[in-house]
Amino acid sequence: MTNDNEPRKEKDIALSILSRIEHEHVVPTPRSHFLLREGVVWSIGIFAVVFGALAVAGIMFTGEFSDWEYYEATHDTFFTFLIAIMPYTWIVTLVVFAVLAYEAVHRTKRGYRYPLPVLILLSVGTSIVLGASAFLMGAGPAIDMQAAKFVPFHHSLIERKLALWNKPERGIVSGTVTEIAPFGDSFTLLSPDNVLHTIRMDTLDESMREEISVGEAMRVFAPVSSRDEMAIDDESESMAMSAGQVADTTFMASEEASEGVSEEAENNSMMMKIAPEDPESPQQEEDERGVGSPNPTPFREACLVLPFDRERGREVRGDRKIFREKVSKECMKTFREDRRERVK
Amino acid sequence: MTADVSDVEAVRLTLGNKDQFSVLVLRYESKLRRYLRRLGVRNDDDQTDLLQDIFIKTYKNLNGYDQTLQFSSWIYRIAHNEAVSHFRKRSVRPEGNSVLEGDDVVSLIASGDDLMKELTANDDGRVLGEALKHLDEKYHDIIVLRYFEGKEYEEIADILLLPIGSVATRLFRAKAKLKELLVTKLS
Repeated sequence: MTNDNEPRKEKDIALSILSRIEHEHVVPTPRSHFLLREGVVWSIGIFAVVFGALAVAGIMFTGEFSDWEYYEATHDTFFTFLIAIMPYTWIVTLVVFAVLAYEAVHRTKRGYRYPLPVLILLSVGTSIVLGASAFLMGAGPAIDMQAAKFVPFHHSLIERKLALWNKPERGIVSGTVTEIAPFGDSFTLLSPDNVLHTIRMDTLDESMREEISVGEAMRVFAPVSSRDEMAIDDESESMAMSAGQVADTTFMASEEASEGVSEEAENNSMMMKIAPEDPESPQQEEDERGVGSPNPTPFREACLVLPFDRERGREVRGDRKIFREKVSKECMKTFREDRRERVK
Repeated sequence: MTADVSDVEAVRLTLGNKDQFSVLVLRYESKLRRYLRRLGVRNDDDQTDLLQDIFIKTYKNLNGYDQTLQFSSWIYRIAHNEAVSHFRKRSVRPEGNSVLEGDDVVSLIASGDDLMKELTANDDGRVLGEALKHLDEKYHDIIVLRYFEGKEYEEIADILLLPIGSVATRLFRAKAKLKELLVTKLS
């Protein structure tokens, strides 16, 4: 019932609105629509926080196992190392989902009442708590490997480390062990770029030698002095030239490198990997021996080996002491000389 | 049906019988019309059209009304959004003087601010109105809600969908800008 004293204009408006509601068949939107909308918005917010948590777990996993202890081997300075290992994909993911979480919660019924810093802090804080919990429960490797499968531009930590360590010119190589020599004094490593490296391990610490097995993914610290001269051992040469095509050749290093090497190593200085697929040509044989070869591949003596546990995605934790104390003095000397040459 | 029922009760009754919606229309029509005029919708026909749109939208969304909010805040929010859309569609700035005849807002805006009191000492609202016209939309709207419509901070937060802290900050900045404009105009 309306008040007869109200201005006519207002009554006209009320009548015209009611008339329009009638004629245009305007009906109130069902409550379920609003509930559904609220549900969708909250779901997006929760989804964003959960994905933020995955990013946090990824960041923590990357941070924990980024070979901080060996940065001197892989990079010239700590700063360049830091830039290289930064988990950019995970950081961008966290930022994107933090913003998405804010936008979603801000659009809920009461979300607008909370200021931006509070909402961001809440969403990122929740992601950090959930992500840290996931990391501590050991979900880091699984998250990292699943992300490598489904997220563009993201490579798993192991793939990144294999690439990071695959710098023969720096004296570091990485790859999968394909063969161990019968006397156990060397092994062959297939790097990610399909190069076979034969690496001697005569002077390697016993505990590290035990880590080496066929199929194991490894990082190897094996500096080679750029001042070393190349030499060929004829006795080894006849032993090695049995059949097939040579896939890779290594040569004994110079006097300086050989100082610390055992007699057995001196006698078995040339190791060759034979692939019995194509017959050798005489020229090829010569090339494989290194005779007349302009750039023979330097011989590598391992000072340090670090395995991954690739199948389970587990990382074997390093120890700073290993690098400084267990690596032999001769090896460190060679490494530092190489670095000085490079920096020049 | 009397107009003595609360807004929440009126909403409930409207959802049962659409004719009861007239209670809310009659209750808010003049307030919203004045609000639209202060926001800058000067033309009577535009005001009427906008009011129709506002009330139709309100009716459609009655099931989405959150009863923890004051109904007046909720309908003012719809009115504010429709006014903003109206200005955007026509690509025009708000027109006219926000200070209407009978408004006693000059002293209200100046209260607690010596400089502002001095600037508006002999003003009958015209200078203030001119200055308000040149404020940014967001500062203009918050001044209108606070000093012309008499809304509290919490109500303004619900109308403009802002945190209460942001309301206080924005109001502070709006007054500072207004002072600058008054100084410019009076000098």
